[in-house]
Amino acid sequence: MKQNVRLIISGIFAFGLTYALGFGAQSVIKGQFEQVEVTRAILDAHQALKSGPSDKQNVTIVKETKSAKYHFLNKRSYEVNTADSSRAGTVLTGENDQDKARADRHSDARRTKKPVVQRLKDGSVRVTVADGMKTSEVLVSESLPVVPFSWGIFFAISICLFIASIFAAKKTPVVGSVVLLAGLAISTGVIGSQYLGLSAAEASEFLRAGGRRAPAVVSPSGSFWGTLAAIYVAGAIALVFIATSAFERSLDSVQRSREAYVAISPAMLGLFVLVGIPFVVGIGLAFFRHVHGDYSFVGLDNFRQILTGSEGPHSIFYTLVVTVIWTFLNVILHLSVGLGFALLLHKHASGWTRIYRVILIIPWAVPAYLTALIWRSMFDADIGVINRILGLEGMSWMHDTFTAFCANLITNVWLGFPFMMVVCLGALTSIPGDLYDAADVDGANGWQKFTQITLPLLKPALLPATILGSIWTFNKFEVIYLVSEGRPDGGTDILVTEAYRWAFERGLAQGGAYGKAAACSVIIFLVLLVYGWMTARVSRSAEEALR
Amino acid sequence: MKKLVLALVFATCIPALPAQAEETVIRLWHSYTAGEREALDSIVKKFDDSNNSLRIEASFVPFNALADKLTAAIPRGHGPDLFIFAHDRIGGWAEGKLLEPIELLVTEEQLDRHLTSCVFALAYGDSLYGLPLAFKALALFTRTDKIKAPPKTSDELVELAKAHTNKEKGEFGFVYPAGDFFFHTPLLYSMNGSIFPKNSKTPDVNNAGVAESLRTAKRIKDLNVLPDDPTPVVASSMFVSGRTPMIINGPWFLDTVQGKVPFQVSAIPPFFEGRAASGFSSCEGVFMSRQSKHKRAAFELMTHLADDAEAAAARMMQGKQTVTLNEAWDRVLPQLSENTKQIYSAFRDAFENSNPSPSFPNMNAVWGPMNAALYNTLHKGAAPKDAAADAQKRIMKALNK
Repeated sequence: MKQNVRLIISGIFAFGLTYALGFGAQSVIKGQFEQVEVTRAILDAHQALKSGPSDKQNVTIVKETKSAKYHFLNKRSYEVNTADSSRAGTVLTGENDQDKARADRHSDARRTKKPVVQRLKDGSVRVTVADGMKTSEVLVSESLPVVPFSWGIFFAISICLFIASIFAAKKTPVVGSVVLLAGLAISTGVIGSQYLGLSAAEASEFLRAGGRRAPAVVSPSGSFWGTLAAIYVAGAIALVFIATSAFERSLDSVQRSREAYVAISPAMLGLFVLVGIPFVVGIGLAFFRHVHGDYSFVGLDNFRQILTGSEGPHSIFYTLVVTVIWTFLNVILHLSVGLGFALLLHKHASGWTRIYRVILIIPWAVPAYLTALIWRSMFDADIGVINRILGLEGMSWMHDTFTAFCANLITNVWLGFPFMMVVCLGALTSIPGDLYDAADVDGANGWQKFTQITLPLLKPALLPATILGSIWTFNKFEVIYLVSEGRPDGGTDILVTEAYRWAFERGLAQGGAYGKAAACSVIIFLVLLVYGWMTARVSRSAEEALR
Repeated sequence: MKKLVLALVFATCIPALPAQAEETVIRLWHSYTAGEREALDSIVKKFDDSNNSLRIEASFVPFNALADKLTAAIPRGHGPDLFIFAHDRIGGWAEGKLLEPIELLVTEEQLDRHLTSCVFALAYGDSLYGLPLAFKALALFTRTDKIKAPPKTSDELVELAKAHTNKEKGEFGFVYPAGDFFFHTPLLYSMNGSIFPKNSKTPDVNNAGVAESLRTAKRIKDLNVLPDDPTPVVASSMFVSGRTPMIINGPWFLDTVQGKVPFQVSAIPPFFEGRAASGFSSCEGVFMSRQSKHKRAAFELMTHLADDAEAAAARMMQGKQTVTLNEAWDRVLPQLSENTKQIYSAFRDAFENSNPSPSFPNMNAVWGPMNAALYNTLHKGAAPKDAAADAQKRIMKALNK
């Protein structure tokens, strides 16, 4: 049964992978063909600009006459139009949609000083080039020579991958992966030559000869190799998973607790949509460069730029150190202040305790951004209440990295200690009173009782709370962003505010450097992953020690 | 069971209902609040009511989020048909093809009705990308209950500021966010500084004017009449609560102070040896998304918002906007009290003396380094010349040059 399920999954996987591969290969070959066509069209358009009308079809030339007052209100008219010569001499008007679109393309070509290339819905390509007050446009509508899809090749490759999957299913994932890799390499060449209708050698020769890069066309090969790499990584992971006992365990567990899985499926779906997809997209984004809605694959370049140079005032390593110190100090202070208040409230239980408890939870209940804004006003150099109390009027907290860091720290301690206090209070009530009575009989003092009874018994509750608290603090965006705003000069920024600055402050000229922001987030994730792994080990050993 | 049958009957009836005439929906995004929003809503409602085939959906988006939302939404084919924003981001948006060029849709006569420099501010390259609505320039607000006549020279300003400073009581004679480059630009232009050399799109702040403006900022700081880098909110509240009698601010501040405190608006006096300058100004316009599916209809609303004299007068009266349509000024000014008339005229004078902030995409790389240059000069004792040179280095690094 298990073997059959495994084979079915392997088959589906192989089929899907081949389909994706075929699709990718088709797009890259088609892209190369289009580049050749576009390059020819650009050359034709430049030729038309130089020598005027020719026997070429679908060439339009527009000439502009300068406006005296507003340079952008130039009068534009058709000088030559080989496709529709009746329009020669006609002025382009805003009422005519075709004219309007043509004028806009010409403005773009003149502004960018690059050919404007557009792919139309019917598959044709339009190129607009400009030279001074004159622009010309060429429309290429020849269909591209694509050989029909070959089912024979498709199934042959599917079978090859299926065999790879069977190797994997037989718990030889390394052989499976090698077969998969070889299959991918061979199939790229085979599918490529099929689509071209040429042999692989002829195809590459043809592309070399005509494949001058058209300046305005984004090369599809970048995203193709990105897709291929992603498919391969996903394929290899899937194969290894299929081959391992984890797969069997998962199958067993699903079969055993079918009802439970049905019950949690809405939550799993929610998690997949809200956490899983953004997570995967975020990681993928780190390998792309974003320019106003266009994404191009740049490999590890975003990471290289973030790790080696810095467009911001400080390097990422400085920010990482600040983040670690920030997290460490916060957690220590949250824990000590929270535990201190919890001990006080626990020891002096009276009618007032409840009121104090509510008061102490208030910082937690108020939205964090409001608290941050209030603290920021309180830290104001001249009219802030803190300087007034301390007699430090005129001393700016934000002009020095240390004091600005302290202002952030104080705000976040205020925000974070109630959580630790609530956790500690809960844990304190579960410690049996007999232990303290026994300690009293043995003559233990307060400190000894605290270190020998209270702390060890609080540990199981405190460890997960500390781990959670430190992850929250590591990514505590609102305090840094609202209190110190990274001042002075980015000195108090932490990694998460740095990611925000990449996305929404630096690189605005390109519509947001989302790739670098994503790369920064991946670094945060990796740091937290290592931290999580380390703390999981610590908490496991602590649990074992308690048992 | 009965309910089920009724529900089924009702459900089967729905398709039988006569289909409503198809309406074209125009989505307009803005970040107007208070009076500006009320004025816009009433203009949009009137336009909506008089057009049966159009329906306008005006949505408020907080100012801090608007630019990011537009940048993210429009390239993916989402977002509004029209939006209202300042001119300073159009360079990047035009390069990214987010904005619809409209120069072929407008006439010279139409543009002549507006303040010329605002029309030019909305152009980038060889295209016009928006129609102007209002301008915003910095000016000096003075409280008339504390100061009888606004200062005309920097000596007068310093004298008055010193007389009204009492640090122990938290009172300061003069307030402006000295560490914020935007508020520093009156000094920058006063000292003939420049950010972009003529005919260049690459910033060069390492020039004598910039260094001189940094030196002047330090000189003003050393007078001990300024509070230490107040946020705009703190600065505004200081003026309203009477802790300062003089503040540099823009027309957006009118809504906060009008009717609450007695005040006057005047041009920022020339600082020391410099010339009179109001620094950066911004021109607010209405822009069309390239992804709009109803461009003709959207342009109709666009022209109504910008060119209709009645609408512009409403924006001026109700929204307290300093509008760009000349006719609106002719229409509204005679109806205003002497004090209000003086306020509007002062802002117009301030605008005439200002420079619309550059809209080149590279300008984005200037703000951070120039704020750092101000910080280093004012608080770290850096020499103004070195601070300007350092800012230039950082700008070039950010631009990868």
